[in-house]
Amino acid sequence: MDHNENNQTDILISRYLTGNASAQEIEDLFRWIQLDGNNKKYFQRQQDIWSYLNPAINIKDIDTGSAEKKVLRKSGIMAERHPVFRKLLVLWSRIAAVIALPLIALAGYLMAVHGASPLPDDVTIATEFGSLSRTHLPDGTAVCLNANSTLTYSPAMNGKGTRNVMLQGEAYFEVKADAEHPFKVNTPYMTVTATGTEFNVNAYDSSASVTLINGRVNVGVENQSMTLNPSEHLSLADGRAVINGHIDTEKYCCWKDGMLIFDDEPLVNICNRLQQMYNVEFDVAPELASLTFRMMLNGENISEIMRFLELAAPVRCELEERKTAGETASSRPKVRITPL
Amino acid sequence: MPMEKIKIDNETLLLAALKMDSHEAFVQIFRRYYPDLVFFVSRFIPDMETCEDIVQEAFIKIWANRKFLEIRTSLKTYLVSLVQNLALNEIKHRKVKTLYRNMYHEMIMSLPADEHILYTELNDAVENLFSQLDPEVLETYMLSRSHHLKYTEIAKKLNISVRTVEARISKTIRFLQSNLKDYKFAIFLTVVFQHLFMK
Repeated sequence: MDHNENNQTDILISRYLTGNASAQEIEDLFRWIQLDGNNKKYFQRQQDIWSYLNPAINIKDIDTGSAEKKVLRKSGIMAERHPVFRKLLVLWSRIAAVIALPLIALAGYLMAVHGASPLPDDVTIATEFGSLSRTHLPDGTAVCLNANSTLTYSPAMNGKGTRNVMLQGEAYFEVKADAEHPFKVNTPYMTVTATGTEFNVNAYDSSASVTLINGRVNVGVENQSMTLNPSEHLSLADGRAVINGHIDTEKYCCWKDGMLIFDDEPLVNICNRLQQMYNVEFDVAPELASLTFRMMLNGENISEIMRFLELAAPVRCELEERKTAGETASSRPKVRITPL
Repeated sequence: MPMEKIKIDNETLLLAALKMDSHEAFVQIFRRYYPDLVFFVSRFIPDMETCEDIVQEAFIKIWANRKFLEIRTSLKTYLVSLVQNLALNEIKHRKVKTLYRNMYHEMIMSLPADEHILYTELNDAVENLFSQLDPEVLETYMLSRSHHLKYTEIAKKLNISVRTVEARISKTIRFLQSNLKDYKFAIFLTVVFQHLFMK
């Protein structure tokens, strides 16, 4: 092999190893490799060195110890753990199988007769005012549920069926990717469908909204369907959907980290937001409604928030406890905000 | 360390013991080759769990067929061929997603495995040589090799001139070239540099 040819081959091999070789080049390489045993040896040596320098995995991550136990068990060299327990388990599973058979038949019969699946009841997670809850659904989706919210799902949602949840209030979803089984969030105001994305749904009241962080979702409002792209925010106003692009998603999602951000927001909006999450109701004097505030809350309670507002603007905040049993229209304490 | 050496050199003994149902021999072979083989398979299937499954399957097969093992080459080559075939099967027929499928790749993969150099062997050789290098020179080389920094970036980081960077790297390469002839490292260096230039 003269030097020039050698160099040519090296280029070919390096193109193959770096994934840059064309189909024709790979065929040429293959032909060269098959020419004689030394060529093949040469090529394999290059591959070894290449994979040493460009490792696909970290060899230190390989757990030889636990693999050894597994292999020894599977080869029958090492006894399975708890042999007595295992025998009992085998025996029990046989008994169970015998018992289960008529039960399955019965279930099948009942299903056929009633047309209803004998699945366990739906699961409901509810959060109190001023608290939030994180959970994983059976399909692997991570959910953060905001205060004063309810999420209902079927425990069988990891099966082949659809992935449906019911939401009242607000939640942040990190949907486990599964293109074949769309994930559906049903709310009284709209339906959000996703396959594997991160998004926030606010459905406390008719001014509901959806904020998309990653991926893509479809939002169905009445008979309309709209697609949201990342950093877009869809909100309902008087039953009509408005999409805003390039918004600061953090502003809508930071509640899951225990924060609230208001960026030159009118007082009336701030109060609406607060009464979604806190067990209070605001009564804002009309002349103050459009007064704007810029503030960041980090888990403060309602009386601390009231002090902030008083510090920031010439207003007075008063907490009015429910007076008499006769006034049952609202059971929540009222915060009255008036000009100073 | 010498014990280790004896263990490895006496593969014929290990194999004989294996045929006589020695658990100890099996475990020794397993410990010696498991990580290297998983690493070897990862060049075909970039998913560690699948790689581990394949290599475990290979060892289970070896134990099951221990009485009938006919190893004409070396134990290492035998093991490499076995896991390579299992990996190829995995790619062709089963669980592995089409993502990894590539006809030409398979063509090259189905070449009978020859004497490969496994990770540990290469690593021992390289580490041994690196330990003989001046630490500053080695650091410069590693920044280029492992961290893929450009010469100008390295110069800035180490507060030395680009010329010094070049000098140190070519010094390292010459040193490696002259000491790793057995492993044909000289060739890999050309490969690596062509790769860098093509980028």
